[in-house]
Amino acid sequence: MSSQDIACQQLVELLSDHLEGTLPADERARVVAHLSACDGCTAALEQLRETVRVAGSLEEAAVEAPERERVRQAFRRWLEATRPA
Amino acid sequence: MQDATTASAQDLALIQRLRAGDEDAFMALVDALQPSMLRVARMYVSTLAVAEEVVQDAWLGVLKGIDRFEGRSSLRTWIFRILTNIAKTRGQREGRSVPFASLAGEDLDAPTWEPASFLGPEDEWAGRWSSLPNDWRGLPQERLEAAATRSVAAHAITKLPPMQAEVIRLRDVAGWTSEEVCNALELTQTNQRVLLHRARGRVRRELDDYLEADG
Repeated sequence: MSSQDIACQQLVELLSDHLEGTLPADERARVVAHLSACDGCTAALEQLRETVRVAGSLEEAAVEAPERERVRQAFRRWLEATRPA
Repeated sequence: MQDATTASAQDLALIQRLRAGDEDAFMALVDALQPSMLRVARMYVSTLAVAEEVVQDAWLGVLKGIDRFEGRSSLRTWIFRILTNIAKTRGQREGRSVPFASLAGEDLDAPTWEPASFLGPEDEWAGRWSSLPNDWRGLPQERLEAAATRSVAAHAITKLPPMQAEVIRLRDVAGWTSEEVCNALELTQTNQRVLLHRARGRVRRELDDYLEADG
């Protein structure tokens, strides 16, 4: 391991920021260099990428029907008060 | 990508429809935002019932303000600002103050990867992998896309501290930009990144446990 290198244990904690593209240029370069030579960290990055993809496939909860209806009624009252037909 | 600092063309079109009294446009906005509004309100106030009132009041505030909204922020940033102001006032009136750590989670600097995966300090190769992580690229795509896998991720999110859960929901589930999430949740960029890192780390770990056990 050269003095420039980052230990795998530290590198994995940078992977989310790496995906975000928020690492400073020098750190990013070190991460990229490490990844190109490390199967373990490459697999770790892939796990994180896939986690983000799985999260992206989830659906947001639905609004409870009574709450939804309350907002709709509020909208209709607002409409009548401010924009009479 | 949407910039949090100004309203997008899509926002401006939606604002026109709201001003014109388009109920469908309004309800689509309610469906898109209300679940996260409710969870965010709940961070500031004591009960779900109070949080529901806060959300209702926020929508009234949105309708009242829509004619004056100038589009200097994205629409959802503006809506969350209204929500947060109401929720905070309500929380203060309840005498409720919630420490950041109880929302964000303890130990934000703790490793998100199991220390046991790495060689210990006594080893010549300290900090390197002691056993390589599972290579998910070897898994069939159907397994990663299966409803059961998604439900493991969804459940993992519900177990996160509330602010971590909301950051990953808004960023990775709903696709908001980091700027928008910082504005909506009143987080610094640094905190947002740390919370996202922790949330992703936790969900990754639960997915990995599931995929390994069920492999």
